[in-house]
Amino acid sequence: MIFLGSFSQLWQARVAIAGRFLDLGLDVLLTDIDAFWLRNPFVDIEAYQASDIIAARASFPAESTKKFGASLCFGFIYVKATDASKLIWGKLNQLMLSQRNPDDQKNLNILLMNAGLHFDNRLFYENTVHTDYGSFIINDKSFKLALLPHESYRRVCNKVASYKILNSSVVHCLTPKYGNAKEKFFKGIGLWLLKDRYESKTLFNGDFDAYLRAIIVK
Amino acid sequence: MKNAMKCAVTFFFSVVILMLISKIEAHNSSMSDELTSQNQTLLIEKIHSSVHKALLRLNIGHSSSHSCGVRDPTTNNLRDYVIMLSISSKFFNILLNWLAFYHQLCPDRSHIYYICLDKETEDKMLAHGLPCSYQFAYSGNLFLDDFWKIHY
Repeated sequence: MIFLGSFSQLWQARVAIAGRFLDLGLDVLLTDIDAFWLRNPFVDIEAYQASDIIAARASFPAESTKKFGASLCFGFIYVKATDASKLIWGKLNQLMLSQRNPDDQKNLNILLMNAGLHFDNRLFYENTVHTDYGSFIINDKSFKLALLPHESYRRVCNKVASYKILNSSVVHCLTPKYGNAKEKFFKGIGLWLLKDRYESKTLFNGDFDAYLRAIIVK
Repeated sequence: MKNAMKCAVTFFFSVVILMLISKIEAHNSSMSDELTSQNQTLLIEKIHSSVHKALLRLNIGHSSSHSCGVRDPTTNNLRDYVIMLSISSKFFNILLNWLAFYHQLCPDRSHIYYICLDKETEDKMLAHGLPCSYQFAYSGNLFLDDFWKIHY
């Protein structure tokens, strides 16, 4: 039995649980709670039928960025329950459980790099408007990765015009790591839908959907 | 027909907002001598904030006619999927804000699976009717099995 309590354990658990879902035949979409969906991302995901993993792009870990120009982001990643994905995910899970303070994003990127992932061109991180495709063969199975464009799956928001942020499908801005600071940041760029002091104005009465509707700014 | 109307209304409002922005910017530059730089900054922030909110309302849910899920071209059915969210009680407000955005595109929350960081988070989630667990057994996770039975 594992009792969570640290973020490293949380990353371990989410990789293990995602693995169980994949084994059961379910696709898994991992999304951070500060990656807000402004448009339906399933429209884009559906377009990449041949890909096993579809992910937003990031710059961490440095090893991947140095080799490819960008990396795959765990803040928004869709993993299809394909044979190739399950194989990769199983290896990731083993790696996560063997480390003391593992990081899932770092581990998956390095795992893919070491497995022979290659792209046709050098990647760019910011200002990208096209999807890049990576691939390799694992145990005679072809693995394909689609890396979504930063302009639509945005990570960097500072000094970016409002209309560009609002044109994104998913906005996952790099922000301070504290709850209050994050909230202030999102309010500042207009990505906050909750009423001020909603906690004192609206009480939860057992119906979460009704509660959510009541606390959103109309 | 409904979509065409929605597009036309969105286009109309976008044009009106762009015209407003141009007017505000022109007005702002003519007033710049009269305002102190602090007031000017506050005014610009206020204008940006209201324009931003208006644009946000117009933009959100634009693609909501698309189903929430991925259609398999061979079967034409939606693929089974789960959305996994990791939560800490310190970020509960951020989660509610995320759900507010999500709800406008995908009203059905049954695909969401929550993992909580600790007991405090679990209690806070349960107090809002959102089930999650911070205890996991890697072989035979009861909570995971319950989720599977309820939804699939």
